[in-house]
Parts: sequence; C-alpha cells; structure tokens
Amino acid sequence: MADSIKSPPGISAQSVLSGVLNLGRGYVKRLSSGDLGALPILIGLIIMTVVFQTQNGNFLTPRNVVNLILQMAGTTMIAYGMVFVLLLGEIDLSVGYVSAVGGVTVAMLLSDSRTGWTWYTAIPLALLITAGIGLLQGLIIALFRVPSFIVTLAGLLAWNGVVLRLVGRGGTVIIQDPLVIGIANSYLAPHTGWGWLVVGVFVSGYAVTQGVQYLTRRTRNLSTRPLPVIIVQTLLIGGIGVGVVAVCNQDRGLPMVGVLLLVMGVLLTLLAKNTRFGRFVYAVGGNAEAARRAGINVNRIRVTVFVLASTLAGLGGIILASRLRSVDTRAGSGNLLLNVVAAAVIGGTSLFGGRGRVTSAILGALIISSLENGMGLLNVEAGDKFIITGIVLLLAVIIDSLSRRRQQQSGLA
Amino acid sequence: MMQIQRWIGTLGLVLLFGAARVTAQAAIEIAVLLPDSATSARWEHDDRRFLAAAFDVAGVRYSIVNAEGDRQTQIAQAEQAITNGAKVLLFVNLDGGSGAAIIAKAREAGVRVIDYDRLTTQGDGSDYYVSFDSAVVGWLQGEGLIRAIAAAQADGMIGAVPKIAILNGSPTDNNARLLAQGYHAVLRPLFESGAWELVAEQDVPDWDNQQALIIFEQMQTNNPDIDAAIAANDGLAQAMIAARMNAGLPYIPLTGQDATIGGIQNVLAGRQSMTVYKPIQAVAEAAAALAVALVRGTDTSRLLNGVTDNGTNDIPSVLLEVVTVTADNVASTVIADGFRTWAEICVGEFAQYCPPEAGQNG
Repeated sequence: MADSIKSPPGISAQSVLSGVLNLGRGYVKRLSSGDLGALPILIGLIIMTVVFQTQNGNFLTPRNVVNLILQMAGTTMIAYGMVFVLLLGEIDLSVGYVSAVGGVTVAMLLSDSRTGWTWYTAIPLALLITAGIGLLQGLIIALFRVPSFIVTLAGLLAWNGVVLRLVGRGGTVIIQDPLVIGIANSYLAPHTGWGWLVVGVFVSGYAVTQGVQYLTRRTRNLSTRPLPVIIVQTLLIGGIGVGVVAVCNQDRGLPMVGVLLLVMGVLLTLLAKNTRFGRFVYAVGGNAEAARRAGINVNRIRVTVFVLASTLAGLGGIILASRLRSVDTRAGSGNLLLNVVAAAVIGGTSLFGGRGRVTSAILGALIISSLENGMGLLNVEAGDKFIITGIVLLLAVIIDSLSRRRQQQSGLA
Repeated sequence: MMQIQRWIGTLGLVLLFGAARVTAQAAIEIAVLLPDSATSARWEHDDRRFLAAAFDVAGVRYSIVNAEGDRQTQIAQAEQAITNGAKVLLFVNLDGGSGAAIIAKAREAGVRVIDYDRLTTQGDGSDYYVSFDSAVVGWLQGEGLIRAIAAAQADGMIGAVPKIAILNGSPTDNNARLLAQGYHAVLRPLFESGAWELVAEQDVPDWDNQQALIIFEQMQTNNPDIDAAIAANDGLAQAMIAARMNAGLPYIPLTGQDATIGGIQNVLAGRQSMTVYKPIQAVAEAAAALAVALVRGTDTSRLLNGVTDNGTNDIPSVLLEVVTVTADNVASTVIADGFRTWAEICVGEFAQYCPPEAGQNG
C-alpha cells in the first residue's frame, strides 16, 4: 500500500492503468475500513435526483436549481458553525434562535429609516451581538463546566424569548433596505460572465493548492495521494462547478449568496485544516484530556468555537431574513435547528467529536434541502415529509455509527 | 464547592415554597389560565392586560397565570385556583385531554368553567365558550378573495379561470383546521363548478414562515401561472409575497388574517388584498363580563349570543365579530381601536401609502 502511494506519476498507458487500479484498490480498502468519505452522500443525491426527476420533471430545471441554492443558503451557513462545535464533541442547540436574533436585529434597526441606521452599521452590530451570545455561552460552558447541551438548551429558551420580546405584538417586521434584501436576491448576471470568473478562480485555486501540496509532500518524502486521484478529483470538482454555473446562467445566474457560501466554505476549510487553531479543534474533539496535557488551552478553543458558531448563525439568520424579506415571532423556530444539526451529521461530521469537514455542512444541507425541495414539488403531505426526513436522518446517523465502529476495528480511530 | 451548591439549592427551594405559600393565602374569585407565551405574543401582551383592566373596573379578586405550554403545569394551576376559592375558571386549554381533565376537576368542586378562545372538544365540555369564530375568519378570507379576484378580472389582470394556491396553517392547530373549513366552505362551490382551479394546497408545520417560503416557491415552480392565493395568516402571506418578489413576479390577489403590522403594511401597499382583525380587547371584555356575572350570580342570558357544539354538548357561547381590513378601512378599524398606530405602520417606503392624517397622528 505504502509503495503504491509513493510511486511517481507515470505517463505511459501502463502506469496510468496501474495508478487507476491502485486508486481503486486503495479506495475499496478505505471504504472497507470504514472511511466512507462523501460516498453515501453522492449515492443519496443520485437516488433523490432520479426519484424526483422521474416523478416531476421540474426538479432539474435551471429555475429550481437556483431556488435550491437559495433555499439551502441559511441552513448551510449556520451548519458551518455547527461543524466546528460538533468537531469539539459539543452541541449548540441555541443556533436557531441565535440566528433569529441576528436577523431580527438587522430588520428592527432598519425598519425605520429615521433612526439613522444603515446596513453597514446594522449588520456588523447584529454579528457582534450574536458573537457576544456565543462568548457568553462559551464562557459558561468552559468556566463552570456545565455541559454545552444544557447551556445552549437554556440559550434556546432565552433567545426565543428575546426574539418574541423584540418583535412583540407587531407580529411581522418587513425589511425594506435594498442591500439587505439583495443578500439573498442578487445574482451574477449571466451576460457579465462573473459566474465563470468565480468558478474559474475557485477551481484553479483548488488545483494549485492540491498541486503544491502534492509537490511539497513528495519533496519531503511524505506519503501522497496518487496523482491520477488528484487529477480526477480536480476535474470532477471543476466539472461540477462549470455545470452549476452553466445551469444557473440559463435562469437568473449564480446567486450571490452561493458565492458567499463558497467563499466562507473555503475560508473555514483553511481555518480547520491549515491553522493551529483548526488542528487544536480536532485534537480537543478527539481527546480533550490528551489535548490539555499536550499544552493546548482547551477552554480558549471551546470559547472561540462557540463564538464562531454563534456569529455564523447570526449571518445565516440575516440570509434567512433577507429571503423572507421580513422577520416574525416565529423566526428561528420550526425545523431550523434540526435541519442544521442534520446537515452537519448527514454530511459526515461525527456527533462524537474529532471527525468531520467543513464541506460536510454544504453536502448535508444539499441533501436536506433537495429533500424538502423535491417533496415540495411532489406535493407531499406535511406528515409524510416529517416521516421521510426522519428516516433519512436516522440512516445518516446509523452510517456514521457503523463507519466509526469499522474505523475503530481497523485501528484508524 | 459541593456544599455551597447544596446550600444554594436548599435556599432556592425554601424561597420557591415560601413564594407559593404567600400566593396561596390570597383568596380569589376568578382565575385566568393562559396557555403560553411562545406561540403567540397576544396572551401576555394583550389578553392579560385587557382582562386585568376589566376585572379591576368590576372590583373582583382575580389571578392570571400562564402555563407556558405545559399541560401538567396548567392542571396544577387549575387545582391551585380551586383550592384558593376561585368560583370561575377562565381558561385557554393546551389540548383536548388536559382541558377535559381541568373541566372535570372544576365541576367536581362546583366551579364554573369558561373556555376562552379555544373550545375543549373532548369530554362534556365547559360551561361557557367565549371566542372569535375561527370558521368566520376563514369565511371572510374566502369572501375577500372572491372580491379581489373579481376586481383583478375586471382590470384584465387574471384570466377567466383563476388558478388558486392555498397555504394552510399548522396541521396540529385546531384553529388552522377551523380557518380552512371556513375558506373551503366559500370556495368549494367555485372549485367544483370549475369556475376556479385549485392548483396547490399544503399545510405549513408550526406556521413556520421559512418553510412556507420554500413550499410556495415549489408551488410556483410547478405552476408558474398561479393567479391568486389564500394564506392562513399574515406571516404566511408575507412568505408568499417574498416568494413572488424574489422571483420577480407581480403581486396577486392574496388574503391573510391577524392584522399584524406587516400584514397591514402589505394591505396598504397593495401586495395583499385583505387581512382579518380580531379585536382582542372585545373578546377579553366579553369574557370578563361573563366571569364577573357568574361570580355575582347575575343574569348571563343577555351576554350570550349562541351555542357551540363541542362534539358532546351544546356550549352556551359568546361569539365575537371579526372585521375585514382592506386598504380602505385601516383607519376606522385597527387604528380607531388603538390596536395599531400609524407610527408603527407608516415607516420607510410604507409612509407613501398612508393617509395624510397619519403624519400628524403619528
């Protein structure tokens, strides 16, 4: 195994073939040892797409694809933060209503133009407030050693109360600020070509990073993934990116909020993978006591993660409010929290800590939102929707649990 | 550390029971049991103060408590009220079962029970029922849509057979069911005769507007030519309006209910055809008057105006009128009653739709 991985990339047909075979063998080995990666999600997406598209031809139309990106945006942004919390082996049940606090703050400050608030003062203030909520909850968790489940459960109640008090008996606050509405309602117009630029920058950035990583590891004689794998993966991601932009351009264009999701996803992935903070998060989530003995300030990591999660929730709440062009007493309620946790877990982030990726938020949210989107097209009854969503969530957690057991058996976890 | 915690815990318990003891000493005549403060802001914001004001004027001793959505808490609150000597229970049940349990306990103790705004549909039912008629609210929504569509057809905005979408309220809420009964009673003949076409109808779990937005977007994807819609409340109507605006589509005839600030703004701006205003003050005052009459033993017949079937018995009822609010009568309804003010409605771009006097009254 180790030999095949280090084998230099060949140009001859034979070496390409052996590379592919090795890749196949390595992949099967990885699967059987329990590291399923994105495979269950891809299978799930393909099954859903086939089912929905055959039942209702509107599922793959450009308009619906653009709608799907918009529909998953808020959940994904909040789930980004949830991934970090889950990586620690903690949970944040308050994110639904914290997101509502973010959205409501912006909507209330901007509801009356006479107050002199503008989007560039209101949005930062809302994010500061939600960050402050995360700081408060994080400090209580870290300093008083209260389980995060309890602290954020208290937060769930308290921030729901704050939302009710803020919106009060008015019931609904309509957002009028064009920029805030524009967050979830502007597009990179097809004729400008900006969508192609975004996907070009992203894919070439990905390719360059992979290439540089490959070369540095090789020159240091470290194990690398075989070059064909990297090339195939890059081509695949490029193909998906080009496909998404091409489809979106047949409708309104790539949504700005999709670009925002992409940028945040890249930044947060870099944070998780390439910074000391990120490695410490994985270390604490893997074994907090070992991390503490290794000299990591576990409390600081915990508090920082809860601040990050609350801030991202605030941003997600602003996206949700922008889409609804309003906030109301029910902001943050319903199945938002469930969808966020489900997105992270379905995407492959473990509830047991230490295992997961930022991209799991986007993949999981894609599953959850496609399900909701497709069932909406098929006019599925509310009760049946709950049952189906419940079954999908259960399947995801079972897969997570099984793969964890396999990994333990094969000594990987 | 452990000892301090235990000490604080004991102190807390002592304080808690002490407080309960103090409240237990005050004898009361009327006990109001409110359901929660989470699903609607009205209970704590409006009902509590209107009821308290009416009881204060009448000079009766009363208590108002809130069960915060917990059925067991509400049963305990009812028992405590009966122990404290309450002669009348005015309560909003949390579900049929716990409501029937409370009514049974009260009847055993010879205490009169008034269902306030929510009918207890299990068991024998309460002694009285005071409410808006939710079916009438839905009926007004249906009527409102007929008028709005007729106007739009006269302007040539809608074809001969309008395509209708409906967003119902939460499938777990009995009031949502009553609303739907109301508008379906009006619209069914139109659908059956083929004059109108019902292209999509869905329940919105928990009245969640974010889910409503997605559900309606999917309805629009399936039926890009939806001509008109009914939303079970103003929040769901706002979700539909947002979906229209987000897709760059024009406004359609659309009816909601609740007279929220956003709902009235949408009505004034022509994005929503009408909303329904339920004067909470009127229902609170009617319920208070009935409760006071029962305490004093005076004649209640002049207060009652109908009966409602709870499934087992006909419950003597006070049924309050609800009011259709359109752009033309905002001033004479919600504003005149003090339910809303021009100042909270006429903000930003909505100021242009407000009448001139709104500025001065501000």
